[in-house]
Amino acid sequence: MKVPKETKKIMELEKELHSHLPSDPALRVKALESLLVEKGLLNSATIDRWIEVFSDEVGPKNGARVVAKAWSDEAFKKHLMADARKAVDELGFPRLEANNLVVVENTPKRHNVVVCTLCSCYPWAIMGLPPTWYRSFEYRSRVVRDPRGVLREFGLELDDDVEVRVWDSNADVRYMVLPERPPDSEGLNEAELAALVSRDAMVGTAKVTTTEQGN
Amino acid sequence: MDGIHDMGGMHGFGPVDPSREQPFSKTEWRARMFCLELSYTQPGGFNVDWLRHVLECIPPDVYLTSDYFDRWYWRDVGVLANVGWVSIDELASGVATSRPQDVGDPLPPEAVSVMLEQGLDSRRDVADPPAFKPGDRVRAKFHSPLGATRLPRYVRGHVGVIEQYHGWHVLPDANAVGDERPEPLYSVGFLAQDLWSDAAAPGDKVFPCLWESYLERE
Repeated sequence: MKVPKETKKIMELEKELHSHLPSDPALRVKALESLLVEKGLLNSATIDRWIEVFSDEVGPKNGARVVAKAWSDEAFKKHLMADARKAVDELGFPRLEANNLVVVENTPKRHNVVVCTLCSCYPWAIMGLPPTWYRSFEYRSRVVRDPRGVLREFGLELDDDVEVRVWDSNADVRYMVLPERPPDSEGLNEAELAALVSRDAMVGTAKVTTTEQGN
Repeated sequence: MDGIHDMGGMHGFGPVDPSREQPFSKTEWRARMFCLELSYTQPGGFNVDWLRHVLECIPPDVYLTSDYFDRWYWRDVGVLANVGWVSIDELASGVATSRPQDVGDPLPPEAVSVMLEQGLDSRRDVADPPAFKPGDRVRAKFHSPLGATRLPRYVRGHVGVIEQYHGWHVLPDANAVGDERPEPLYSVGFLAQDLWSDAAAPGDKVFPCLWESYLERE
């Protein structure tokens, strides 16, 4: 079907919708779901299935496995830095919102942090849904301009001689940070290492230590 | 468009609260709204660039005062009302008074695993060489259309250096309105001190992804 696409008309329509509909989002979303089911445009069981996927099947545990493998296996790390998508395919992870995956590596002199200033783009298949703070106006507006100040709000203080690189996921490219391996982790195997890697460390708002469990 | 969504570098927002988390379950409206968006039959087919643009058309005051997933609601009812598939009365009551014709069956739960496995990809298989290579100095054009674009305001007019080439990707500006026009896509590094007069450290950099037509050789 041909969809009319005029920005000015959509702006007027959005104003009109907002001025006529009730304020409680929970009620509106419920009404929308039942309306779309009645119209043959939606199957509620499909929503339930997606919720199961994002609750149980994809999440930062996937990314943590990638990080732990990169720390333990030099050939895998080389492959990951050169073509992250193909390297991650070896681990059997899905591709939703991660078809164009790029991994950026933290070093003692370089710290990477990821944002989407225009909305909330994030590598779902590898890291799950973005945390609430990642979608917040505060993070989106400020981390490109004052990354050191924002990282301090996460309890992360960077030395002046560390270069900060902020990656804006405003296109279809999705970034994951490869954090530095903690210095006292030599004896740990891949599963033990993965358990240390937090979601925030893969966005670049935390470091990995051997004292705290990942989230 | 110069909308409220284009927030990179704006002053006035307060500290980030890293402890804020929202529940995600089958009975939680935010989770249902998020997954509804992945499940309903979209008029004209799923077009992420159109969806993003419609969200950008939400009035700025509504954008700033609505929950993240409530903004998804306003976007999706806009997408549906734009083609007459839903009316304001129906949205208020939750009761259908008409039914769109020839829309096929809605996405079944069995289709979820295929979508999860494959996702969508804006990359297209084009063999032509890109105009720029890593290390080239480029200037982001002063490009500010009323329609869709993914050129963030904060780099417009500024000079950066090509960092990575990502292959050919459909241009959101054109794809949003149904014109698939792939272009080379690059990560471009900008020195923070070239973008902000109050940048903290001279070596810090910001890397947005920019399509070739957003750039000119410097």
